[in-house]
Amino acid sequence: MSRWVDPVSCAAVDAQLDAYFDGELSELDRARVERHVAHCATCAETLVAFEQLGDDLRAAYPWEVCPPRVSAAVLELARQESRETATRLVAPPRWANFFAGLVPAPAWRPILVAAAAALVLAVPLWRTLRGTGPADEPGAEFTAAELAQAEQEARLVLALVASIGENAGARVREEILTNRIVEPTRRAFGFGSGSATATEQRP
Amino acid sequence: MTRLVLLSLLLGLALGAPLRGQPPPPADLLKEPGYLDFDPLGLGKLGDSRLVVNLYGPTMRMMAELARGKDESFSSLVAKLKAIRARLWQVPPAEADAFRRGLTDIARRLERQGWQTAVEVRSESGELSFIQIRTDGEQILGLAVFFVDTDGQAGAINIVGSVTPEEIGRLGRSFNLESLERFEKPK
Repeated sequence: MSRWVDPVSCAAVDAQLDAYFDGELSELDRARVERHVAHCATCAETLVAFEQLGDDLRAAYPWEVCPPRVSAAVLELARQESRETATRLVAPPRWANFFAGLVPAPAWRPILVAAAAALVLAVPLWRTLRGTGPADEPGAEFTAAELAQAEQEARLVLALVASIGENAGARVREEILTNRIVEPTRRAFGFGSGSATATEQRP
Repeated sequence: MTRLVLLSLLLGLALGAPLRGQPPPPADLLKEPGYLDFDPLGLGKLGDSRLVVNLYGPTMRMMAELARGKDESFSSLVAKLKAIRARLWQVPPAEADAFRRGLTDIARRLERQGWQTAVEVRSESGELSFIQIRTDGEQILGLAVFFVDTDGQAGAINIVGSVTPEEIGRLGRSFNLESLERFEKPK
C-alpha cells in the first residue's frame, strides 16, 4: 500500500498562502498548494481562516464603489510597501530573522491582515466623512476652495480652447468658402466682386 | 469677444488661492509625448505671464471624481486628461508683432519636434492662432494652442492626454459660451 508523501513543507505553503488567496500564484504553485492543503489539516485551517476573514470584512462593511482617490491611496501604500519589501529583500537586515521568529505567522497573520485592512479603510473613510478638510490624495492637500478654483480654471481653459477652435474653424470655412467657391463662381459667371448680389447683376 | 470674457474670468480666478498642496509634476508626466515643456520654448522671453495654470495628477483625478454625477461630460473628459496647463499674457501693442513672431517660431519648432499644426489662422487685424496636436497613429496624445488676439491677449495652452478637439468643442458648447454673449456689447 502506497502512502502519499508531500514534497512541499508546511512552511513553504504558509509562505505562499497570501499569494494563493489573492490568486497571484502560477498554475504550478497553485496546484502544489492545493495538493498540500488537501492533506494538511493545519494549513487547511489557516486557509479557511483567511476565507473567513474575507467574508467577515465583506459583511462588516457596506458594499460601495470605491472612489478612485481611495483606490489611488491604497495603491500608493501598496507600492510603498512593495518598494520597502524589495529593499529588504535586496539587503535583509541582520535582525530580520529575530523579529520573524517572534511572530508565529499562521496564528497572528489573520489579525495583522485585519488590522492593516481596517487601517487602510479607516483613513480614507475618516477623511471622506470629515468632508471639510484637505482632500485625500497621496501627496496632495487641497482645500475645497482650492479644488473649486482648479475646476473653474480647467473649465475656463477648456472653454478658451473651444472658443479658439471654433473661431479658427469659422475662419477656415470662410476662407475656403470665399476663395474656393464664392470667388471662382463669381469669376465663372462674370459677376463683380463688389457687394452687389448676383440677382441684382443679372440682366 | 467671448475669448476676452473667458480670459477676464481666468485672470479673475488667478487672484484666488493657488493650489498650495499640489505636488510637483511627476516624472512620468514630463515624459508624456503630449506634454509641452514651456520653459525651453523661450516663452519667458516673451514677457511675464499674467496667469499660470498648472493642473495635473491628483488635482485632475479629484476634479473628475467631484464632477461625476453632476457634469458627466466634464468629468469624463477630465478623467482622460493628464494635465491642463496654460500661460496667459497681456501684450502691449508695441510688442504685439514681436510676440506673434515669437509664437510662430515656437510653433515651427514644435512642428520639427513632431507636433502637427492642425489649424493656423492669421488675420489682417493681427489675430494669430495655432492649434497643434501630438499624435500616435490615430490617437491624439496632446494639444498645444498658441494665440494672440486683437485685444493684446496672448496665451499658450497645453492639454495632455487622449482628447479630440471635438470633445473639447462639445465641452465648450456645454459651458454655454453663448451665455457670455451678453458681455459683448456692454450697455
